[in-house]
Amino acid sequence: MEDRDNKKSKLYKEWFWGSQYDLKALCVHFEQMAAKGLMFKGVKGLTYCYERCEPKKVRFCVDCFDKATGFDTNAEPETLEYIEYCEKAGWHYICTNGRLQYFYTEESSAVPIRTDSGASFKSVVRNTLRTNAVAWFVLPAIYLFTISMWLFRDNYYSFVQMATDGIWHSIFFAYIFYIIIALTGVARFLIFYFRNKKIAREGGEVRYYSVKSTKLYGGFIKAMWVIAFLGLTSGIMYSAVSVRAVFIGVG
Amino acid sequence: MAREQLQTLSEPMYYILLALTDECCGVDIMQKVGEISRGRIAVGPGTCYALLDKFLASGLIVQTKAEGRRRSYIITEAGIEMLNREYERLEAMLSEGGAILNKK
Repeated sequence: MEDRDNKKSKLYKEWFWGSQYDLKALCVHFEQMAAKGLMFKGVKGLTYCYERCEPKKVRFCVDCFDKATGFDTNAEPETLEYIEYCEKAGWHYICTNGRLQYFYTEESSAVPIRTDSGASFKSVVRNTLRTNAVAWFVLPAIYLFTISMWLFRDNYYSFVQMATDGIWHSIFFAYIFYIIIALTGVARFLIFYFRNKKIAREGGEVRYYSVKSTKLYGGFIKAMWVIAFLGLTSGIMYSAVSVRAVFIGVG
Repeated sequence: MAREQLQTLSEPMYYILLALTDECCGVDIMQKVGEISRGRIAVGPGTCYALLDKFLASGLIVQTKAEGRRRSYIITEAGIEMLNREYERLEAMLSEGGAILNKK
């Protein structure tokens, strides 16, 4: 029991919004946390886990490995071979999250894992589109279609429609917010892509979003989800109140 | 399509192919490139891994043996031809550039 408590107090978790093209921001964030005495240990979805330690100066690298799949939670055989290359170059493997592989090094002279910015940029773009294809394009298309079906439905206002209207309003509200979130994600990615396309082709250093910008965007996403959730629940509650009013009226 | 992309070699590509003129284990290539270039060229492990894959697919190198996860490679005839072409291109650039710059 005491061991479990000790282990618990050593761990710290946080929610951090880092897209597949926010790799540099993630690394800088991990380095800042390590300097504060929180060493990055693992990730599950968007929840990052740290272990309390002495503050230290380490370099992190988050690399996109194309041969992994988006469903990997552990390193597969091909990934293990690639990890061996990185470890030979002085990078210590931390964990895998889909195609993203997390490393750190305490050697200031360790060569970066990717020294070809053009190929690295292409890999990041490919991974981003593959990972977000459903969230950015398929789901918004389905939601837009559903919304248009609802908007152009028959105007007959039945008891059933009155009872469920609250639910439809809340779903409509949630759909709209999801589409806004998807559109901002696409816009942010496109800005990153067009800003760096020429730079990467000429072998220059790709300009990733800063930690501050990534945290701001993460805050915006959190706020949008909270508003969408409140809209969803208020619509459901409204619907429940309407149905109750109808029954009392009939009674 | 892969061959078309490899008409000219970047510095890391050139040095990796040079390193593989002798049989070499994949994980040791980065160190060998550093030695050949006298510390001037540093190839990252991710870049090295990706380039080896590209060279294998293009037939410029071939795997000679595999001991667990450690794979060794050596350059092929096609790879040597590619290296020689690149060397001649660089020589031409050097002499043409020298002719003009030496005049100045």
